[in-house]
Amino acid sequence: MSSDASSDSGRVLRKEDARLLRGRGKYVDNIHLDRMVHGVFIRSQKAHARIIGIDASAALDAGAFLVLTGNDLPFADKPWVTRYWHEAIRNGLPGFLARDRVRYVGEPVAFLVASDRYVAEDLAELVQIDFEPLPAFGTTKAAMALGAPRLHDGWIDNVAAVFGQAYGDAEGAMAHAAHRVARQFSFARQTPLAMEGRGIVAQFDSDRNDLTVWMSTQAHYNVRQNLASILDIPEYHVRVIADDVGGGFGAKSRCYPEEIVVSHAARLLQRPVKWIEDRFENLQATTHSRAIDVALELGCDAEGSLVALKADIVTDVGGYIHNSGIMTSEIVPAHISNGYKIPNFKVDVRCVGTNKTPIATYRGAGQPEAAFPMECLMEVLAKEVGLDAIALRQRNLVAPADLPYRTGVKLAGLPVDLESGDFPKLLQLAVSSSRYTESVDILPSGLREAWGLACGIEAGGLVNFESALVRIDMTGNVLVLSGMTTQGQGQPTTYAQVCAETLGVSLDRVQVRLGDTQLMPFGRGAFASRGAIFGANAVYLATLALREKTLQKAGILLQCEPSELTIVNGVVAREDGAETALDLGQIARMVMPGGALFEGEGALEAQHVYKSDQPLTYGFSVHVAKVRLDPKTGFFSIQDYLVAHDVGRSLNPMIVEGQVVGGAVDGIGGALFSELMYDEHGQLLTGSLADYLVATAPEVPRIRLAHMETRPQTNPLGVRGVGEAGVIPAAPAIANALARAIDSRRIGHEIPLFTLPLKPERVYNAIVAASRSERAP
Amino acid sequence: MKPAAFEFFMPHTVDEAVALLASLGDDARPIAGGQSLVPAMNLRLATPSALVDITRIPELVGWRQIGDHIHIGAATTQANLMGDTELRTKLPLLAAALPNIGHVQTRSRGTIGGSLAHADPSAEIGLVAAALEASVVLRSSRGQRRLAIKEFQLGGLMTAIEPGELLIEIILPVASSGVRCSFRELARRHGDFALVAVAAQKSQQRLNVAVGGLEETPRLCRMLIEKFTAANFAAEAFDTAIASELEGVDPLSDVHAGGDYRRHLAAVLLKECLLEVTQ
Repeated sequence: MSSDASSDSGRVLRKEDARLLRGRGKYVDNIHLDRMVHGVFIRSQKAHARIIGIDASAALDAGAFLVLTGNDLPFADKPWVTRYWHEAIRNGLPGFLARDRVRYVGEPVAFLVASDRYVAEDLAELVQIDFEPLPAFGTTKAAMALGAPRLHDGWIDNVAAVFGQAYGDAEGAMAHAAHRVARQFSFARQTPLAMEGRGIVAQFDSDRNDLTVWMSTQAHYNVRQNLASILDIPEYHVRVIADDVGGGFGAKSRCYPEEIVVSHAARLLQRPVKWIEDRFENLQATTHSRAIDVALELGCDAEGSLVALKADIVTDVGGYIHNSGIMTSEIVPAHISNGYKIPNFKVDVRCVGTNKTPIATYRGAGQPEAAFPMECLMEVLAKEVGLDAIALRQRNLVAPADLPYRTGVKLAGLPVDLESGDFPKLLQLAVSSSRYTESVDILPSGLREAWGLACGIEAGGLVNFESALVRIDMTGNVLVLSGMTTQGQGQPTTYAQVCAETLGVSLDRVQVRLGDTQLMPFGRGAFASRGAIFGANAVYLATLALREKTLQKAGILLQCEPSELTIVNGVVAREDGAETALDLGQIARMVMPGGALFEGEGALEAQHVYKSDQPLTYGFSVHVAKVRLDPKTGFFSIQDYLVAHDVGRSLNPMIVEGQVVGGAVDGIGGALFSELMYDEHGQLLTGSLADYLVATAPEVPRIRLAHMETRPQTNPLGVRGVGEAGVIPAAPAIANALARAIDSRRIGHEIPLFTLPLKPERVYNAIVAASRSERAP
Repeated sequence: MKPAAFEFFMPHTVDEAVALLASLGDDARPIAGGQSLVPAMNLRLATPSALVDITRIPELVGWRQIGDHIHIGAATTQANLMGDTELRTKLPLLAAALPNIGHVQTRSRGTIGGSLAHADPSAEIGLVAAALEASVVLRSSRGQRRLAIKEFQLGGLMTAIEPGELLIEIILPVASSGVRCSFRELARRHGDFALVAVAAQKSQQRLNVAVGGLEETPRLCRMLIEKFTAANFAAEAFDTAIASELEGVDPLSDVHAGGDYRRHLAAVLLKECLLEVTQ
């Protein structure tokens, strides 16, 4: 593979777009099967209550085919199949349908099936659920209050998990630091909001004991494991198909109760059952994320070198621990030092239960939550020390001379090692590419313009192992099978590019298939920015193995050493460039049963399961934002925005840019608009897209990009993750710009900006705070 | 998110429509663009037994001038009003407000009457109607009545429309020549309901100004108009006039903005609009 981000090499149009842009995508709701029926979940509208009884007789009398409640499920006590699990978790996983108690608004209580969705929703209104209300907690503070009843038996003080990370002597170093700053930060509860909600069509063939499900998921093999284990069906009888998936962003990276229940209903009814999550349910019942409060303290010496970091983190995990565990709470302490060298470190984490929807991962998964407090507090510290904000960062960033740099913290049991990159140079690139300045422009209208900046490290990969198989058919076409899924990140194109270039065939001869558990014995799926780091490396290594095998066969046929041969455009060529008459199709026919070179293989193919000794590959990005603020109202707009990033080798620069720009739009929306609000009794106040806001086109400036490329040695292709860099430091870049626009010299006024989202009212409160301190003597 | 079952009727005259509403009973609802009613039905917050679609009634679409007033049919879409250059000169304040309503897509369906009948506290058309002291015409099978806008706008999502009654037109005064208008609103995002909006119009003799989003119904700023007119529209009178107008207000508060902040925004926007129409 040869490509670099600055060139146009690899910049090819996506193979999948012709189909998707013509509306020919095959999403779950596009699946229509003979005799298919439609289900609706009946969800708790109480935040916390005991279930006294459920009476479905009226609905059944009126024509419901089936009403399932928690007590109807023979597998109700079966455990979830989880992958990695933090040992500090004090249990509290959800059931499949609530049996005795509900703990959040939106929790599934019953599942009703009828002839169509309209009828199902009509009949759902006839199901009587008798609730006895229990005291509900809308905040972590209320949940932790003395004497508050426990949400789950093991949740002492309603704390679902408590753990920490530490090295050095943070207390001692902080006490002796020349400068200390501390602030409280709050990252709002948000939801990934994929365009396609969750959904499933389940079909059960009772004669064969076969379960086939079409699903909107990122992790089809994990779903298969859960379906097989919980429903007690041999794994080879379970097929999970995730064809086109309209976005996942972390929320579809594990199995949900609904998927188990719908599959069970299909088995009971012996008819295909479809359930499509609507937006109302999506906001209530798809896992939420963020919802993290961080009390952060930094100390540095007289020159501005950091000496200590202390943090106290409280995550609002909701009413249950989702079966993906507490990943975001683990990532915040692992990443909060954010590329800076900090010799003394202590972070304590409490995951606190409340009567809200369980949380899980969302694009960036803890990394935006870590970058926000750290990058905002670095600005405060710079003012405190009297350095400019860039100088303070440059002084403390891990430099190339420090590499490989062992941070001293761990993530999912793995050491967090920064092994490659040039963080100071990337920061410099961001500054020089963006026209960033630390001065404030006051326009004749009174509007104020200022720049803000923030850095962020991104971990890509994380979950080890991914599989690929590459096969050459009789006509020389190449099929790539992958254990991954795609939610639109361009894997079908990127993997074809990797294969085509590595093997020596033209791109249009390569087709990629993924998102179906029947394709490969094993796979993981698309999450943690692992599509290139794991998926593409698996394709690369499988293709290398296939190329070696093909040339070895060609050597036999051409009576020469394989090392004297290469493949150009699907035809074997001599080293000196002279073509031979031998093409890949011919070799494939020779290898197949009946061919002269048959040696017991069904096809000319090779497969590889890629494993890494260091599954975490770190990248770095810098966001630079220019805001225009109306100090009379607190309303502001983003005038300019630049993301400088190092993605390592860029397999398809156009796809990389799309990922980064999309991430930045998501990050800007999360910084400015998105918040799931609850009242103190656990009722969701932002239950529709009129109230849960995301960025739309008019609010987003053109995102400019600045590329730098260093190659990580953690994986053969030298790629980094790219799906999350666009989102991670968005909020602190904008908050820092606003704090500067309001008052570029003093500190204190910025405190309202440390609660996301950056609503105009909060910005106005910061303006008021600044004018008060101005008036103060 | 599927509506409960309902009957659907598509009359071609107002008489037919009101006869249908009378015979179908209290649970029937007229529907025009459906931009508020359909989402409410999908969430089953509204479960009308029948819908009477009024968009195919020619009498309810378009506008005509009678004397120095413009009568706009209730089922005229916001997009059609926005694209009408002749109307723009006659009702410049309405023209200034229209681009702030939702998005191209919603304005293509949404109607002037639908917005007035839905009566969202932040809605732009209701605000313009309040500022210009418009009238509305309601008809039922029992007859027709004309109401001043302040008798029509009763509260958040509440109007004087009785069961069986249909809003058929809104009547707005033609702007005199040389009139100056200002419409400003602050919303979280482009096209969202405004946190606060202000509509102001000033002719030689007369100032009209109202603020929306602040209370359940748009507030016609009578005290401000009185004080400011008495001060002969002198800029020095702005602040006290605005302060006295907003003094007794008990502002709305929701997930997007608190009451005190809304009141502050109202003061800022009022001043900007007054500056624009008087300076």
